[in-house]
Amino acid sequence: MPQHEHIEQHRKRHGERLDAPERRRKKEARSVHERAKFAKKVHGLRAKLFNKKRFKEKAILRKTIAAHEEKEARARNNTSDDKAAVPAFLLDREGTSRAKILSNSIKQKRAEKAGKWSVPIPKVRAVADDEMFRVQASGKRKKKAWKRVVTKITFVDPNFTRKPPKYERFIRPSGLRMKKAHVTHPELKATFCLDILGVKKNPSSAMYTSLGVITKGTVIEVNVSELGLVTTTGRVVWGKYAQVTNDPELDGCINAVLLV
Amino acid sequence: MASLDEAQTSKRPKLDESVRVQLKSVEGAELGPALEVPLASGPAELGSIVSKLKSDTNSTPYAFYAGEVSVPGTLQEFQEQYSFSTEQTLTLTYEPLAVFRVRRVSRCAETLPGHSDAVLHVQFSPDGKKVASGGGDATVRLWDALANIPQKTYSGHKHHVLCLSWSPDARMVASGDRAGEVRVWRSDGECRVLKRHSKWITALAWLPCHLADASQSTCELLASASKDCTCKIWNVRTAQMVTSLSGHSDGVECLAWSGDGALYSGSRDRTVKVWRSADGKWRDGKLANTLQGHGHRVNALALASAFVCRTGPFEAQKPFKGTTFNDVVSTSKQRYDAFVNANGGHATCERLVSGSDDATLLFWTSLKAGAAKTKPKARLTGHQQPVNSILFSPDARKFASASFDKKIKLWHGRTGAFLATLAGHVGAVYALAWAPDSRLVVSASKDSTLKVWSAADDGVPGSEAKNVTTKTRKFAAALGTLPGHLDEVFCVDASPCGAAVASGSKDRTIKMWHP
Repeated sequence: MPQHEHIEQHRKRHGERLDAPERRRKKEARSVHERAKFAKKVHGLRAKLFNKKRFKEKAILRKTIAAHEEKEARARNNTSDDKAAVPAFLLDREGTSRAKILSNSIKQKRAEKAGKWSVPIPKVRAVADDEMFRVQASGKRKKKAWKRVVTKITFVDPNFTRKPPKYERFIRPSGLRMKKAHVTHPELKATFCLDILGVKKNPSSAMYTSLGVITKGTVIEVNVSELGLVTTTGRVVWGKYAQVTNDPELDGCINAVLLV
Repeated sequence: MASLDEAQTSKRPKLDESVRVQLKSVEGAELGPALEVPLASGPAELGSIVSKLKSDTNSTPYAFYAGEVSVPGTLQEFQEQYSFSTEQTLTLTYEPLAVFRVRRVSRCAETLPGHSDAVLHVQFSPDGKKVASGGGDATVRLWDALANIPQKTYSGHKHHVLCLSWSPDARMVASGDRAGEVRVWRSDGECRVLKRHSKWITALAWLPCHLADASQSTCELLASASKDCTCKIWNVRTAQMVTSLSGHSDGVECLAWSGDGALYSGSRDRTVKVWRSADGKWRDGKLANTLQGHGHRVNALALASAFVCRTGPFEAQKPFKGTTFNDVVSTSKQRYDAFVNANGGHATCERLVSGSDDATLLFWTSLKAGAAKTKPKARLTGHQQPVNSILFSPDARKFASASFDKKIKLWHGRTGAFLATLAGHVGAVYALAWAPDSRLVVSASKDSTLKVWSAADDGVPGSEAKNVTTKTRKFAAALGTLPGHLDEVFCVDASPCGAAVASGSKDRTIKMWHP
C-alpha cells in the first residue's frame, strides 16, 4: 500500500463517521457556491487562469446540453417530416436526410422579389479609420508614419502576392487572416464550416471591402458546393453570399448567416 | 505530306470493300442468303435490303445488332471499333423500329398551377387526351392535355395522394393516398371509395384490358399495394374487395400486372412475389412463386408488356374508333397479340426487371405459369446507389433504370446487356418516361430539371449527342435540358400518343413540355 493512503487505511480499519455521506453531499452542494464566490473575488493572473479553466468547463457543459437538445429536436423533426408531401418512393427512407435538401421553394422566390439586399443585420456600426488602422512608424529613423496595419480580421485571396514591403501601405497581419467561416443556413438551422471566396461588401467603407476586412455585418461570399444547392437550371450553386453576425476580431472566428 | 495523304485515304472507306452479311430476325430465322454488302453501308442501307427481302412497303426503319452490340453507324466504323474479319460472314440481327418518329420536347408549353402542395404523381390517360395529377393537397386534378387547361378537381382524399393509375380504357382514374384509401374516379363524376388498407398505398395497377371480362361495361379489377404488407384486389364496379394477397413480411413497394395475367409485387422484404389466379376472376388469387435474389428492399418492377397493357386499345398513330367495351377488349387483345408476336411468342415475351436498394437490377425471364424457376437470368450491376425507377421502352427492346447516383443506364431488353450510361444530372434521378417511338427517354431529377436523352439505334435526325465510347464504358450526354421548375421534380410522364411530356414538381406546378 502506498505510504500516503493513511486515510483510506484508517477508514478501512475503523469505518467512517456515521454522518459522513451527508457531510459529503453538503460539501459538494456548497462547492459551486464557494467557487462562484471565489470567481467574483479573484483578480490578476489567478483570475485569468481560473476564468480560462471555468470557460472550458462551461463550454463542455453547454455542448452536452446541446447534444441532448439535438436528440430531442431530431425526434421532433421526424414528426414534422411526416407532414411534408413526398412521393411514395421517398417515403420511409432512412438515411436521406431531408434536412440537407435545400428547397428552392416559393418562400425563397418571394425573398428574392423583396430585394436582394434585405439582409439579417441591416444596420451596422460604422468603423472609423482610427479604429481600423494602427499607424506603423517606418523609415530608418522611424519618423515616417504613412504605413497602416489593419487591426481587424481580413480575408486575403490565396493567390495574393505582396508588394515590396518597402512600398506596402496597408499591412494585413497574417495572424488576423481567416479562410473559413461558420455559415448557418437560416431555413435548415444547420451550420457548416465553409471556405470564404471573397468579401462582397463591407458596409463601413468601400476601401475596407477592397482590403478584404471582415467586421460585423460584412457580406462575404462562401463556397456552398458541398451543400448541394442547385439552381433552377439544374447546375450546382458554387458561391453564395452570407452576412457576418459576430465581431470576428473579438471572437477569433467568423459566424455568418447565408442569404437565401 | 505524302504520308499524311496516304493516312487520310486509307481511312476513307473504299467502295469495293465489302463484307458478307447474313441477316437474321429476332427469333433466329435467317432472311435470304448471305449477301455481299459494301462496308460503307449503314442501318439505312441494310434496312432497305431487309424491306426488299421481306417485300415490306411500310419503309420500316430497322436496328441492327451483331450479337449484343448495336451497329449504329456504317459497317466500316463498326469494323474499326470491334475489328471483325471481313473474310467471315457477319451475322446481323435486325429489329424493326417504330415507323413514326417523335420529336424531342424542347420547351415548356404551359405551366399549370392549381395544386396547393407538391405534385406527387402525374399520368397521361392511355388515349393521351388527359393528364391526371395527384398532390400533397389531397386532390386529384384532371387536365386537358391538348389545350393545357384544367378540367376537373376531385377532392375527397384525406391525405397526400401518392399514386395514380388510369384504367386502360381511359374511363377511370384510381388514386391512392397516404392514409390507405383508394378512390376510383369515373369520368361521369362518380367516385368509389375502397377502404381496407391500414397504411399508405404505394402502387396501383389495373388488370390489362385484354384479360378483362368483355360482358361488362368497364375495366373492373384493380390491384393496390400498400405499406401494410398486403396487396388487395378490388372490383371497382361493386366497390368490393375481391382478395387480399398477403405473404410479404414487409411493406409492398411496387406492383405490376403482366399481360399473361400474373401479378408481380416487390417488397421491402427483398422478394418479388408472383400471384396468379386460375380462372382470371381472382377470387382464388394465390401465391404462385417467390423470386428471391435481392439483398435489400425492392423498389421498382418493370415488365416488357407494361406499355401495351397500360395503353389498352389506344395506339399511337391509329385513333381508336370503338364505342363498346367489347371493342375495347378485342382491340386490346389484338394489340397484345401483335406485341407477343413481335417479341418471340408467349414463352419469351414476358420479361421482368426488378431494381433494389442494393443498387442492382435482376433480370427475370421465362416467367410462364407453372415455371418453378426462381433464378434470375442476369444480375445487372453498375449503379452505385439505390435503383429507383425502371421502365421498358414501348417496343420492349430496351429498358432504362434510374438511380439515386444521378445516372440513368440503358440495358438491352432481351439479354439484359448493358448499353449505355446517361450522365448529366446533378441530383438523384426520380422518374423516367419513354417517348412512344422508343427513341427518346425523359428523366426527372431532384436537381429541378428534366433531361431528354437519345436511346435510338438509328440516330435521331438533328440530334447532337456527344457519345463518348471507350471499351468498357459508354457515356452519353443529354440531347437537351428542360429547366424551369423551381424545386425537385418528382414525376414525369410522356404522352402515349404524341410528343408532349408532363412533369410535376415540389414547387406545386405541373409543366407541359412540347417539341
